[in-house]
Amino acid sequence: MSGHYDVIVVGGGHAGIEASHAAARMGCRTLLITLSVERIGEMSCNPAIGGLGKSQLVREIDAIGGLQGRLADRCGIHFRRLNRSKGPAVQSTRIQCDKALYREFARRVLEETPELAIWQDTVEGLYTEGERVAGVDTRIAGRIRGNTVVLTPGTFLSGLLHIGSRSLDGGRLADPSSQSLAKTLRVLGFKLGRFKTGTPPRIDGRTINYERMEPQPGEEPPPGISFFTKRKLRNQGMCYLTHTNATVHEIVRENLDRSPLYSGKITGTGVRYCPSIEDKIVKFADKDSHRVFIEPEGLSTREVYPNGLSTSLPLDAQIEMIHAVPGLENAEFTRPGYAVEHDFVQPTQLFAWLETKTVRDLFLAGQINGTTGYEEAAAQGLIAGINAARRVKGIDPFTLGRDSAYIGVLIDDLVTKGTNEPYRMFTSRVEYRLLLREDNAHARLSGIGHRIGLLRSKDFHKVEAVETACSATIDRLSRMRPAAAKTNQVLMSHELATTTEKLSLADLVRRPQLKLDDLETLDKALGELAPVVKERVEIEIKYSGYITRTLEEIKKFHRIEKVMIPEDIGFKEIPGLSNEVIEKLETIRPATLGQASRISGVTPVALLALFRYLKGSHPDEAKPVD
Amino acid sequence: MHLDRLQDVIVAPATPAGVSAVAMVRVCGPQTLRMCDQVFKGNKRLSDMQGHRLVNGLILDGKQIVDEVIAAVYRAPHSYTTEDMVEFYLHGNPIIVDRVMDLLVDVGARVARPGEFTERAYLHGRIDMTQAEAVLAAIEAKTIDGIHSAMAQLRGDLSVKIEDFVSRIKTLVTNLEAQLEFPEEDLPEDSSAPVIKELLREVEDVRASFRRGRSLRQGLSVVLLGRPNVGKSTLFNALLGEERAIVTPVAGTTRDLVVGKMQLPGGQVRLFDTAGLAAARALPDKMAVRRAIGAANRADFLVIILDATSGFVAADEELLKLLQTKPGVVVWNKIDKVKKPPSLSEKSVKPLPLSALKRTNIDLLAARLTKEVSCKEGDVFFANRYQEDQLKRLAQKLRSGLDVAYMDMRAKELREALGLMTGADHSTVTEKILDDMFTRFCIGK
Repeated sequence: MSGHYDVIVVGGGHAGIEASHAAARMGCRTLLITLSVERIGEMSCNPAIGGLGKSQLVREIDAIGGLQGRLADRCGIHFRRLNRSKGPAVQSTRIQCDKALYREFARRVLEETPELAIWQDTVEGLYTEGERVAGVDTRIAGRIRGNTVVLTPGTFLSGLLHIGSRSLDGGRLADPSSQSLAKTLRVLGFKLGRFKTGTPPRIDGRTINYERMEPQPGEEPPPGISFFTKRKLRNQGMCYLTHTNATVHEIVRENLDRSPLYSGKITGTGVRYCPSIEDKIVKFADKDSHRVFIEPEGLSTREVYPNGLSTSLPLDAQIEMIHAVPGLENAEFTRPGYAVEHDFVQPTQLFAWLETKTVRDLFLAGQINGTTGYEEAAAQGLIAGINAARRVKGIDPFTLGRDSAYIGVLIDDLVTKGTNEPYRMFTSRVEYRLLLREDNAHARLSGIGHRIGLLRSKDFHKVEAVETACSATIDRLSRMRPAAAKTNQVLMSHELATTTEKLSLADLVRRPQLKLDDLETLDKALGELAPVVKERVEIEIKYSGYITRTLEEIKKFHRIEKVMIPEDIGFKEIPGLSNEVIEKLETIRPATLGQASRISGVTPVALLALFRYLKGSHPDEAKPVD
Repeated sequence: MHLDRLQDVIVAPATPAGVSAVAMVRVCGPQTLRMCDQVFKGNKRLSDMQGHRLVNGLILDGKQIVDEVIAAVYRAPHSYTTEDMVEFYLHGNPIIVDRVMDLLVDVGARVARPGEFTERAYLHGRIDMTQAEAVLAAIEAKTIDGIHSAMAQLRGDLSVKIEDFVSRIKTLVTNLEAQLEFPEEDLPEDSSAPVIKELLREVEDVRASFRRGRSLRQGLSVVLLGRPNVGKSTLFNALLGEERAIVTPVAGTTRDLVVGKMQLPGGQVRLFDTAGLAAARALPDKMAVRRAIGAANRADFLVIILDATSGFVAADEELLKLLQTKPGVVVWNKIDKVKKPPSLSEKSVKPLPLSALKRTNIDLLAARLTKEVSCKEGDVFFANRYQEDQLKRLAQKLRSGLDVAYMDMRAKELREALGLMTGADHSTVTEKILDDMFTRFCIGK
């Protein structure tokens, strides 16, 4: 660590890893400052990457040239693809990871990234020059200057841990939090809120009676998440399913008055999507049982993670409760469960490229923006890192639209609407869900990743090769029309009505009952296709009707999304806008009419007035309504 | 988003409903002239005309004349909305107005919402804020909650029914999304298909009651369809009780549409005999087939005629498909010539066996038509065009939602149905659904 940096990234979590890697890969002299080098890439909560809505983010990160997918595959010990039968658009891969390996590989990849330096220290404040940030002030090294700063402090921003009535300062158990950074942000004029999240106790696996639980094996062959993984994946860990029961619920109820969640001690808003066991039992009193998944923390440890039992009850109550769960009667704790409260910056204070509106060259990513989840954090880290690098190089900011990526939806939601609870990605938030799938993330985004200088050429060529093979195959299948007699053999073997027409193979694949594999008798070449090509081709053909429809919708969406709002617009001068609406528009400062339309409280009437004004004052910019 | 809608061509009657000397139908939007040319035949094509000109001509439904009209052409930006616009001056008969609206909707126009012409006039800068304020305030609600106030303006039973549909679709979507987002939770099994089917049945019931209302006013249109020589004209004559259509043993005797009126207890039927549907080679045959298909598309009710002597053939399959989108009945004709009509149980239709020639079971078919025209308890006779259009689209969405390969597709159709009924945009719908989901289900680990 020495001298002046292009990009300084504060925090070595999932956002910080992507941000520092992206910026350095794009040629910027980058410094990653972390509280502990050993803790880079720590999975502070559950030991898994991916899952519904989240694996789509990871695939997109992978497509653009980020790390999370590769790391998850490298450290994966249990692989599953969820929702296989419900449609490709809602299929998601989830990988249980070995946490120690994850840390090890994350650190190694960063250490091997040219232009990237790592420094262990505590950042106590931001150094600003006028309206822009110019470096950070650290406890040990003092002032470190940089052109841009990416802040990814996670739960460490004024983190406070709760176990029963005990409160400990910290961002994670045994790791101190950062208090002064939040103070600096307040001084700079940021509005901060407070969120709460939690984690279950950890258990010594040797003390679990697995006989009383249902094994949940990984899927064979193991589905990976990164397009670029070459090594063979192996399921090496086992998960188990057990349930809470009336006794567990009784114990929780008896101890509720000692839970900081219910005693009024915790003020932060919790995650509806990851409720603590206290929440589940209070809010769903009629349910007599909840699922608990036992997941390994890694191969080199016997410690396990009881997913579903997040709690901040006092330790004695935690132990009593856990012992009532079937299979955990004699469980020995290795660590207690706890709740953690942390500060966050209301993300409406950011532009879509994750730079703050008040302090130039300062970027925020991850939980500081009010999100929850490793994947959400990584996605933002990637975008913040890319944009810090582009700022250094004097290039326009890079953003992804709601129509091109889950990442686009995530960030647009955050910066346009803000959030009043920890934000988690869901597939249902994505209006073009049938188009933005896990399987086509690379087809959608690798070109962009390569163009901005992040995805390596050799990786991009691999994507290109698969896409070329896909379009060639789709083309061939649309043209091949075997004689009806041959087609009928296939149809009859699936008990389908026969035809007199010469149907194309693509027509056949569109039938819900038929798969590409069923057509090998009609087209021998299908047998030789790589599985990845086969999967892509089948989905593209089966979804073609919906894809066409979605593309039409996107065309309509663009008509207002592409109506730019000039940066210097005075909303006050627009006739017909109420004061409330003017205030909202001034705060968010939407870049397009489309973004303005998504701000809550901006009524259709206000929107029409805005549109009308834009059309009048900037006829060219407001034109594209066609 | 609402501004998307600026791209649609919209159509609405500009004169009050009811009989009058002259009625006016107004069409505007980007493709107006091209669309209107598809239904209007004058000395000049409307798209070749200058603005502020009148032309005399015919509104045609295929070859059939609907009305003799005057069309006024306005060229952008010199019109009320500043877009291309056409006004048709028709004879003031509600039936004609309805048919002209139908024709325009068939070629791609959308029935305008109340105030939509004025909204456009404002948006395009034609009128100013003060002029438009009153109209703007009435522009539809952005949120699902807003729907209640919008709905309150509708009258009586229909609004209650529609609100009920909306709340049930919302529950469906929430359940479906919960299934998709949380595959590992112990949620109730997916039961969306039967629920959608039931909902669709009820929507179709309401739509059928619109049709009955219309049949009270103008007669229910019933179209006889079948392959050549299955005995359509014989049946037509049998139903009317008179020899109106020419019947010969030669396939393809009927070419033009033949219309007859049937008076039934409870209402009137306009019965159409059509040319047999077969792969036609000669031009006149082709035109006859096209006309028959056109009539089928506009019909309120279909009678599909199968020939019991030849049994069910592949071409009949296409005919049965029409019943997926339209009410109707299937009959086996010529049962006097066979011992027993073939079974069609695997197609899940139960044709009514009859003989047009021997007049066997004609009374049963007539009874079926009577049921279709008779009023029922709770019938909604008067919906405005916008509501009719909305329920038609809803039925389409529900139907496509049933006919999908995967649940993610079903979710899309249902969410669109919800958007259609409430006017709410995607993110408003999502917020409501997520709220609902986390209130109803204990999910998340």
